[in-house]
Amino acid sequence: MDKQHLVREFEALLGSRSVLHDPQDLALYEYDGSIERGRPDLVVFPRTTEHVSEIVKIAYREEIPFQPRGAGTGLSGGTVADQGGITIAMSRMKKIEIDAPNLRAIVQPGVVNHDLSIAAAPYGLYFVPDPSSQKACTIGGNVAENAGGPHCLAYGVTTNHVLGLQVVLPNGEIIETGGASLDFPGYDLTGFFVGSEGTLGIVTSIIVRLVPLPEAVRTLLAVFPNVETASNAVSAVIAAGNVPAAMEMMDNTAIQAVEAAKHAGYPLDAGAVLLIDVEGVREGLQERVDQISGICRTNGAYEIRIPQSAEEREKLWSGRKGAFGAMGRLAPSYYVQDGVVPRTQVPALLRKIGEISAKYSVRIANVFHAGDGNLHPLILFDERDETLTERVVQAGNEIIAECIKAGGSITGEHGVGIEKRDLMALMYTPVDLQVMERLKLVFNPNQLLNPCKLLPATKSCIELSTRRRAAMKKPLTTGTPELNRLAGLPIP
Amino acid sequence: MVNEPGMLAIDGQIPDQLLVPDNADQVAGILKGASGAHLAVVALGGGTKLELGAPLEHASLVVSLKNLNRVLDYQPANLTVRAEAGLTLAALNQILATEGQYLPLDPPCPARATLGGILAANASGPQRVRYGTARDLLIGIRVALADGQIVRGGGQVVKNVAGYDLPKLFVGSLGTLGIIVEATFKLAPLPKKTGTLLASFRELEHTCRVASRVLTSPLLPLSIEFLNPEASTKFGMGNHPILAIRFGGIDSEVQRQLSDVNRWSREGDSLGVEIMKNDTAFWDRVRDFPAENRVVVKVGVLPSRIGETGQAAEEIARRNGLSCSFCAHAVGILFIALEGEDSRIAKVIGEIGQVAIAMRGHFMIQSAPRALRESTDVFGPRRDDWVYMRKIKHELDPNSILNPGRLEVG
Repeated sequence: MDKQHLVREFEALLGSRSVLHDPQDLALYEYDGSIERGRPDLVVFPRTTEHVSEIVKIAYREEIPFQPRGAGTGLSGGTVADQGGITIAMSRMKKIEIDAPNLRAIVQPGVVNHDLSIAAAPYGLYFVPDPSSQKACTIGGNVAENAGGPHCLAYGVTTNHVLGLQVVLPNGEIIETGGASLDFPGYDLTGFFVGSEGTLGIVTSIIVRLVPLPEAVRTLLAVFPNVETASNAVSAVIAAGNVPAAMEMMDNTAIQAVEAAKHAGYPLDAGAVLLIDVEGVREGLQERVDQISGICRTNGAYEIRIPQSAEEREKLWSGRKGAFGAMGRLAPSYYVQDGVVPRTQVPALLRKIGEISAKYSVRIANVFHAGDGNLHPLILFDERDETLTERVVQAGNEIIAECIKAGGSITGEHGVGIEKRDLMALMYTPVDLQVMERLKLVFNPNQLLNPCKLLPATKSCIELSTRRRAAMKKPLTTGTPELNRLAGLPIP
Repeated sequence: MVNEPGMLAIDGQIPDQLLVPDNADQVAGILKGASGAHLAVVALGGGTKLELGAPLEHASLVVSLKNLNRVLDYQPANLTVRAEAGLTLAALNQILATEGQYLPLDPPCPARATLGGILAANASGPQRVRYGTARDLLIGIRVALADGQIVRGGGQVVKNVAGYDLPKLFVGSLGTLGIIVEATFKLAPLPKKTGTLLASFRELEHTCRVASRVLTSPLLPLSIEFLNPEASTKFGMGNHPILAIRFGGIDSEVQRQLSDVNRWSREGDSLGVEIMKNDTAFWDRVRDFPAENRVVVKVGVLPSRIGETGQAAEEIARRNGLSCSFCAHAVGILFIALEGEDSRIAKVIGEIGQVAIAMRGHFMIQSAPRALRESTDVFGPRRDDWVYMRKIKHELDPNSILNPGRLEVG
């Protein structure tokens, strides 16, 4: 079937405002938050589970690759149309049902993470995972990537808060896994689907756990002369039996960027800061804050600031959450890694990152979830400088290799996607990867759903994506997305 | 490796051989041989859950993991531990306690229950209200597969999204996908103090109202447990429904929270309230309740439906002349013990199951003699997702040598 027929078939199913096929429109959907690119041939916007199932059946029949997409904030290319095909944009499926007495919500995948917590707030509840992109990213994307966030230290990541799913499988079949109650017998398919990066099925409804808002929160900003002392303090706090709600680190480079962009109130002369949230019931909180402050001081903190107002606290946190965006103050682009190491290895890894930065002459800022050992080195560069870009990628890979050597992981929350698919072999044995591949084929036997992601790329993956990427570099025939937008032309 | 002649029956099946491997590679070697010869293999930990699941079809080889009992890597400052699957929970927690930490799982019989068995059975206890279950604490796993290969999933770090979440697949798999040889867990600091409030009520519904208030409040209980009147009687604590709530942490936190629930219980028409300082023995009994009764059904429903479900179960049992005692975690898990004539028990299990299903919950037989499990639906109705569970089973164990019959996915 040619593309025009396919467009008509989708328009008949979804309506003409729910199908995009002009190159200018498609160009908006060729990227996510990573450095990967891949333009889909069509973008469709389902509104119901049945729509998704019908779309998938058509794609399956026509043997066209297809991939789901939330807000496109992903950081590993998980939603990039590497092999072209149909991108199924879930943004119009955004219903929320809250069941407050049972601490549950049933949400559609297009619901924005922060909107769920806003909807739950009147009941005194919230959704724990809080990726920095939470004002844009969707719950469907959070499920696909098993998203984390600063406040996952004490209460766990997305998988710990997802109890049941409705999934459209790559053949169009609709199944339910898990449910609103706990411990459904049988294999934990819900747990297996969370974090599968949209390679096993397309999630169309999600039962999540909500959590009561803490009664009291105290935020500490501990200021250190360098990253080494700050990371020693992190280990010491945990070893002393404290698991704060969040424990985030920024180094001096990151502070410079954040202050330039946000004026959040971080001291410009600090070698490193720890931003710590301590939560719980009011009684005992001061004792915990004092204990953590004491440990920070013993480990070299020369100043502890405790914000006295909600605004002051909010400002510090918005600085942290906006840190990636603030890098624009230092360089046009950044390449962010997501390696994880055991908490005790953080100081050693930060030293290594310093060495790698010098070796490749690249500037690196560190903003990360110190309490989890989840590093986020941001390697700064300018895409127009091709030799620099090459060094950046090499430096990134070397950092990841060091994380693996330290007993860690190539990714803590951003996912494998396209970007890290070939790094999987650093972390897993051929047997491990074969088992993953076999399990993938149980659900996705034709590999039409989100192909060439999460597992090492095959030769045919590389060939097709290289050809398609070369074609993307050709100029578009009419206008640009920006011009269309300015001209008020329809962009969904 | 010790090779002992068959000596013990597993769920009524007499195995040909009991093998006691010393390490993971030997476990894998056994599976490789068994796969080629199509021999049914049963992994054995502490033997605390042999009556869990559907009847075992055959058992040619029993593989005891008792010699895989080493702690492989414990770094207190990382709050993680990696250990072999045959280590008992009690032995592990004894080691962790020296650093003021623990694995916050409290399934029945910790002195015998092994890490591998707890994972395979998805065993948990009252403390799940605060810390969740094995799926929430497991961060890495090594499993010997039916073909004799060893697969690793997850890792040593608390946050990791590299590849599919293999560890999840093995939690609750009842030994049907592979033999777990090693596991890595997140740990928690041991609470410095604990305190428990016991409140008795005239009606179960009153108990539920107070529990719901606690559950949706910012308080951070370790456990919230209901005992129905017959369970209270078994515990020697009168004959009324009881609500038990446990807090842990530093003293001021515990005192403040106890005082809140004390007030809420009184406002909620409790008959009497008691604060227990030495609460360990009580919670050990609650923990072991599912293991100390001959026939136990596990029901999962929404927290708001616990009272209704429990009352329906009591009523069904009464109508059929059975005694019915239950302990329930306020997050929506009931362990219902039934006593009486077996033919009636089978009928009652079916009816209780229907109640659970009608509430969009589920049930399974947690423990019962083989004859009862042969005549009763152990897991309740299957949805379409079981088709894919079967496909996973066939992919990883095509000859169905692993615990055949246990999960009815063969």
